[in-house]
Amino acid sequence: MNLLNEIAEAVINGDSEKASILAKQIVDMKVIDLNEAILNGLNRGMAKVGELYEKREYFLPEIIVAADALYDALAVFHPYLKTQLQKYKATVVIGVVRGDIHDIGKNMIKIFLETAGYKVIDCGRNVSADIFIGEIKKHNAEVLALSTLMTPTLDSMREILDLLKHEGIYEKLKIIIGGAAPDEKFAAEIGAIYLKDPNAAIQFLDTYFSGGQT
Amino acid sequence: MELFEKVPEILEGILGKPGATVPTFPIILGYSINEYHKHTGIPAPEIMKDGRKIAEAQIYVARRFKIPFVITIIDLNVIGEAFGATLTYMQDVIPVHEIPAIKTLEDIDTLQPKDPHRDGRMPEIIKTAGIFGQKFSGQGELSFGGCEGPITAAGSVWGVENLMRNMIKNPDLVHKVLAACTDTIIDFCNTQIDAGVLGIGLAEPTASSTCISPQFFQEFAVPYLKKITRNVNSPAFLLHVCGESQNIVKLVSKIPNILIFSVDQIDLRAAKGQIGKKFLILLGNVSTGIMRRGTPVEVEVAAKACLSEGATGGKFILSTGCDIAPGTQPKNIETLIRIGKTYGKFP
Repeated sequence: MNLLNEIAEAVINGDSEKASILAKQIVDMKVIDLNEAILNGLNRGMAKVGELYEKREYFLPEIIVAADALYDALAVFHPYLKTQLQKYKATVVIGVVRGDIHDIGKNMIKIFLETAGYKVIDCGRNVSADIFIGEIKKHNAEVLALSTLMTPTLDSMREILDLLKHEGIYEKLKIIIGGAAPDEKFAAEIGAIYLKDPNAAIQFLDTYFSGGQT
Repeated sequence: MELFEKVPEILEGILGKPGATVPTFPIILGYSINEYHKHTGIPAPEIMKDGRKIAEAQIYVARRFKIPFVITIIDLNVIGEAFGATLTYMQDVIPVHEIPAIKTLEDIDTLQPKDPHRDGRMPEIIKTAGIFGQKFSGQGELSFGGCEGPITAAGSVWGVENLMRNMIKNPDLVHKVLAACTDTIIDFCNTQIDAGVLGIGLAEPTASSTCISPQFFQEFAVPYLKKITRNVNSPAFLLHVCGESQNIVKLVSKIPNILIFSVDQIDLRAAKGQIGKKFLILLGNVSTGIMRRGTPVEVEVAAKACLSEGATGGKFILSTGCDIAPGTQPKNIETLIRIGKTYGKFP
C-alpha cells in the first residue's frame, strides 16, 4: 500500500497517531507534493468517511475521530505548506443560525469543505443575521452555508435570507442549508438549496464552481 | 393499568378496542413556553426558572387544545445545568446549551451525582411536578415527570463532541460520566414521582441513530436506561428519541418498563413488525416541519399516513415526531387532533 492510501486509511480508521506518523514520513521523503497528499490522501479518506456516514455504516463518533486524525496530519504538513497552498475553489461563510447551538453538523461540513479546497469562514453557533452579512461582505464570500438542528430556528434562516435580499447581496451568493430541521421544500420557500449531507454539499459546490449544472 | 385509570379512552384507544379512537396529541414542550410568553408577556427565562410558571405554561396550552397529557420536560439541559453547564437563556424560547460542565479530564474523576432538591433548575421542575399532581390530575388528564436521558444528559455535561469522541477513544471515561448522570436522573425522577406525577418520560435524542450506531446505543444507552427503569418508582416510562430510530426499536422493546416509544424518523409499519407481540406503544410521528410550515391539508395527509401505518392493532398514539416548533399555527394542531378523532376509529 502506498503512503497516500495508508494515510487515507488512517483517516478512515480515525487513527490519529498513524496519520501523524505517515504525514511526517511524507514530509521527510520530499517525494510526494503536500497538496497531493492532502487531496489524494487526507481528503480522499474523509470523503470515504462521508460515504460511510451516508450509508449509516459510520456515525458521529466515527466522523469525529476521523476528523481528529485528518487535522493531526494537517498540523504536521502545515509548517511546510507556506508556498504550496492551493488556490481556494471559493470562500464559504458558515454558521448555525440564531437560537440554535447544535454545531456538530456544522463542524462536520466545515471539515469536509476545507478538505475539499474551500476557504471556510466559521461564524460559530447561535449567529445572528447581521454577523453573517458582515462576514460575507468582509471576505467577499461566494457561498453562505447555514445549519440548524431544530425546527424552531428555521425562522432564523428565513430572517437571514430576507435580510440578504434587502441588502442586495442575495443574488451574488449560493446559499446552501442543512441540518435536521430544514428540507427541500423549506429551502425552496426561502430561496436556498437544501443539501442533505456533506458529500451532497461538496458535489453540488464542486459542480457549480467548475461551471457545471447545479 | 392504574396509570391510565383517569384516561380510560386513551387506554381503550391504545388497546384498539372496537369503537375506540386512536389517542391523539402533539408534543408541546418548548411550544408551550413560547405560547405562554406571548400570552402573558413574561420573558421565557423567567418562565424557565420558575416551576410554577412552567406548569402554568403547559396547562395553558393543554387546556386550550384539550390535550390530555403534560410532562415536566421542557428543555434537555436540566441535568447538564445542574452539573454546571452554562446555558444561554433566550427571551422568547427555551434556553440553549453554551459551555459544558466538564472542562478537563480531571473534572471527570471528581464528578458526583447532583441533588435534585438543590442543584440547577431541578428544584423548580419538582415544583412543576407537584403542581401537575394537584392541577392536572382530573378525569381525562395525565401528567408525567421526567428529564433528558443519560446520553443526552452526558452530552450536555461533557459536550456532545467530547462524549462521542471518547465513545471510541476512552469508553471508560464515558461510562463514568454516564454513571453520574444516571444516578442524578434516578433521584430526580423519583422526586418528581413523589411530588405527584403519574409516570416518567426520558428524552434521548443524542442516542438516536442519526448520532450513534445501534451498537453504541446497546453499549452506552441500554445499561443506563435499564438502571433508570429499574430504580425509578414509576409504573411505566415514555422514551423519546427524535432523529432516526428504526434500528434501535428492538433494543428499546427489551428495556423493562418502557411502555411508550416516542419516535420521529421511522417507518411505523416496519417498527410495529419489529415490536411484534411485545406491549410497546409507538407515539408519533407527524413531522414538526409539516406542523410548523405546512397547511392544514398537508397536516391531514401526514396524520392519515401515520394512522394508516401505525394504528392497526392498537399500541399507537398519533402525535408529532418531536416538540412542535414555536409559531406552529393553532389550525394545524387542531387538524392533527381532529384527524385522530375522525379517522382513527377502530372498527
